[in-house]
Amino acid sequence: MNTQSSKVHYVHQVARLLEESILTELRSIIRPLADNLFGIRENLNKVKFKTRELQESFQADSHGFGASVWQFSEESKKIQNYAEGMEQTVLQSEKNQNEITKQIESTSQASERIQDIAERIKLLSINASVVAARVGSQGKEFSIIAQEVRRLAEDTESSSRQINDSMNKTLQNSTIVFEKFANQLREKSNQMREIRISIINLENFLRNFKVFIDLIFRDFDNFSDQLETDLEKISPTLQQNEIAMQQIENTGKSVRENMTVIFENDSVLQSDLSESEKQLLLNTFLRHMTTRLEEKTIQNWMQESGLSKSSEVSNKTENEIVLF
Amino acid sequence: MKTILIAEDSGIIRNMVKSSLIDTYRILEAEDGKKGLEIARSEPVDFFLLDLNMPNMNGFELLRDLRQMSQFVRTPVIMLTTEARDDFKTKGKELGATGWVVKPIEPSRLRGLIEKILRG
Repeated sequence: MNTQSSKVHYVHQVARLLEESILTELRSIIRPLADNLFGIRENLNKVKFKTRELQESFQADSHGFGASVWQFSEESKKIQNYAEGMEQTVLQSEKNQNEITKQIESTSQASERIQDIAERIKLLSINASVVAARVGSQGKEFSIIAQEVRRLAEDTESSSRQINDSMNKTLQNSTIVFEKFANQLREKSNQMREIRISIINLENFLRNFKVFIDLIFRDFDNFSDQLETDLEKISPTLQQNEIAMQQIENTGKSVRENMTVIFENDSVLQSDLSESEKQLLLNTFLRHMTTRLEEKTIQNWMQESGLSKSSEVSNKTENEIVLF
Repeated sequence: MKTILIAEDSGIIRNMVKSSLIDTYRILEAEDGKKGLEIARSEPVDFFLLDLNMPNMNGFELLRDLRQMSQFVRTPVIMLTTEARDDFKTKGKELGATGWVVKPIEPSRLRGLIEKILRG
């Protein structure tokens, strides 16, 4: 019976040791994994929260910025209208300039006619002086008048020429000034038109950018929701593993108890089973308890307890210790 | 009480060896070579039991590093491994191992071997 008690005691020892080792190993794998997963979930929630904050902030900012761009766009429309008004002014000024030119040309022509008339008057006065000289002393007063007329004609001719020259100069200057002014106006008008186009492009870009950002946020939301769903699927599995470990623990306990009952209460086992048969029974039991433990190690443990007296095993172990 | 460091990646084997020695020795455990080296740098160790095939630094690499530490030049190191090839044993000897034990070994034999080596 002592031998039987020691066998049972040994079975207890081995089963407890294996059960503890397996459970420790499982826990060491599963617990950090569960902690990591819970940590990942927490971090994911933080990231989601921060992302939502960022999204709301971006939307608020983009709304304000969009309003500013819209206002700027409206102001640029006014500028464009103003530019178009300037162009109209240029066109009108061109017309006016043309009118002025025509009038100056007309005045010039009139001035030339005046010069012609003055020239003829001069000729007439010269003729009158000649006639007055032929008449003699009675034509003297007429000769004076003729000279005076000639002088007036010369003055008229000179004044008319001055007026003509002055008007031509004025025309040239005003043409130069007007062309400069018109060119500058046209240039400004073009610049404003280009500014307006740039603003329209900026508006379109911002609109598209906002759509793009919204899509990114939406995709991120979908991704994080999917990740959260996947994590939630794993959680029950982890919980089940915890439950499974409990079940292993309970099974180990009940197996130990059953083995005790079997060895203590079964008279057949106590009396009719040989040592080797009992050894076989124990080996089978131990093999089911673990997949990693080598059978030889189990046998060696059995030898230590006195359950197995396999000299074959001890011979082999003799060769497996080398001291250098 | 002398201190033994067991470097072995299998928790089951580690527990089994530990349970056979814990009554007599203070036991430190490492699940890989790198952890074993960290412990050796901070704890006084009187005996090393090193598995060969471990992640993050195998038994040979750990042995080489231990022998380069002045406090462990003469400390006994037993390679406790399933490898039984002669070329592995030769390499272990060259790196400075005290002995080579092929698993499995009876706990009582292992205990006896350790006592014998520590007695000198």
